Amino acid sequence: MEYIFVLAMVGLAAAMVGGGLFFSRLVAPHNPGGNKSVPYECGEQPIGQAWIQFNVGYYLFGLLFLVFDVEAALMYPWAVVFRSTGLPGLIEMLIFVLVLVIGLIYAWRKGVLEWV
Amino acid sequence: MSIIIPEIIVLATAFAILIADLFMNERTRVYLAPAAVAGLLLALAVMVVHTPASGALIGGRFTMDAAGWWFKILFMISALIAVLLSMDTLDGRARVRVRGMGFRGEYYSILLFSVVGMMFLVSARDLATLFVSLELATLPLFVLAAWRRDDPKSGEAGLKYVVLGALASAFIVYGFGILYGLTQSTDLETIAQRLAGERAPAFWLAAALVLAGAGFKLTIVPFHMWAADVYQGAPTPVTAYLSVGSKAAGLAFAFQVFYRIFGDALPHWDMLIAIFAALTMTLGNLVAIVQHDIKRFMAFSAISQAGYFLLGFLGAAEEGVPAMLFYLLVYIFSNLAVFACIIWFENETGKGQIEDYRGLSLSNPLMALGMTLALFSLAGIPPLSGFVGKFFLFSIASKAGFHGLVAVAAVNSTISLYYYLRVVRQMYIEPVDERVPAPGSSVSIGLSLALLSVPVAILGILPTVYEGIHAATIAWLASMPQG
Repeated sequence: MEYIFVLAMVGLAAAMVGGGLFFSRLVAPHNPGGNKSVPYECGEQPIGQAWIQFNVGYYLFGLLFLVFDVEAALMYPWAVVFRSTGLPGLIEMLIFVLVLVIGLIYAWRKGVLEWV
Repeated sequence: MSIIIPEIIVLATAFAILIADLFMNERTRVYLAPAAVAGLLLALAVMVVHTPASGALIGGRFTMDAAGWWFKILFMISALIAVLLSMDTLDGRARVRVRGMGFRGEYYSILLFSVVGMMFLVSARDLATLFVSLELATLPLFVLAAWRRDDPKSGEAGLKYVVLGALASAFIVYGFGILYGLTQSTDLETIAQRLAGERAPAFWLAAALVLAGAGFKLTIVPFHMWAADVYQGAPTPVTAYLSVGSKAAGLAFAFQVFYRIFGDALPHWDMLIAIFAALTMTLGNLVAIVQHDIKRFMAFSAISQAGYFLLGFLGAAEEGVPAMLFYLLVYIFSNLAVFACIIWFENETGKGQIEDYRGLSLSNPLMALGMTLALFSLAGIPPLSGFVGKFFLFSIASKAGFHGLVAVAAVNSTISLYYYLRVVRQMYIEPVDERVPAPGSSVSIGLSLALLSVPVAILGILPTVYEGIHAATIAWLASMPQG
């Protein structure tokens, strides 16, 4: 019986999504074509299709950025408890950063940071 | 502290290889594979010296016990043989060059990362570490499956594996989330205590989700769909490692969740496990009959072997656990021996159809003999080790009262003999194909086949290994909270 709330939650979630779609279909004017089917490029006049091949360099830069982003995210909670963890905590964080630095050195040596 | 040293050695080797690769040229990179072998041998030596190691670190989150010792030894042996089997292909010693094999340093370090993940998986005693180490074990496998970057089949294998693997991981982590919600704890022992007698619908949902995830790793029908395409598309040395490493990790994960979390409910699931076992054996076997590609054939053979493993979950843990561990040992040696021959044959001739093995007994009798021995062991012919392993598993199912299932397993075993003999027939009875040049020899693959053939032949005759595993698992079960 305690699971009735789970069921209610499922029903409510479905109603929120489905209801929104249904209601917008009910009241929104349906008038496709023209400028509406043009890809949105921040107000610029679009050049060509959206399905083009990107330079793989974007992904590599994105990956490297993500690594240090996650590192910084982990360092915030670590900084909060730094007083209680003390030296062992510092060493653990240094090992963690070292592993990431190895990754950066590897990418650097392999020429990922050169934009071609 | 000493219990974590093997993991640290393997991890340090992986990083050392990654960094060393940066400062080496094409000529000196051939030393990377010996470095990986040396690291694994050192870790194995430390494991053996610290027998039987037991203890706990980091507040009980990393523990070591006798069954874990066996698992870790098996993981490291699989990786060691996988490195030996990869050397020729990666160093360009193969007569038929495999193109697009990429950077060697990355290959070996990714392989070692996967091994470290498997080793941590066995020692994990916490939902979070269990999940993270399972991911560390499988993510490198996705990368390795897609290793040949200019081969569309390898890319397809990697994509299928990563998509379906991510789905399985999602199942597992969702199940873990519900378990945490039910018990407010991530510690496996505490979860098991608080779950005792729990039969709420959420418990069943969690159990089903975790079971599906474990089934994916073990290639249990109906979660086996990925195996054939991934095995076929991945580079052959990677397939060899995948077929044993992924299965061993899946069994280790199944042990962790079945015996540590659901130990109290496991006896009530025997009917379900029996159905899964029968389906897995039968489907794997029937589809294997019609295969022509040897890697795809081995994929379905591996699926049917997973069905035999499941029989061990039916009986009492004191009998099931040693039988499964022993069969895992036998399976790893036999399967790697078959793959040693497949990799060597592909390196020498560039061919991988079963029909291409025609007349191998004449052109290279030793390789043909090694492959025959391993195939017979997989089929379960006495006195080879595969027979003894299957015998233990079948007798457990029989003792548990599943006589029908044992009959199904026995029939399947006979069917499997037919298709394993298909390969043997090509090698021994069919005449040599004159157009195929006679294959040469390879030091590393020949050495690994010799190393593997000995245990395949004698493990079933020597009782000491099984007794060792049995004693280890009794100690392991005694250490468990609820027995």
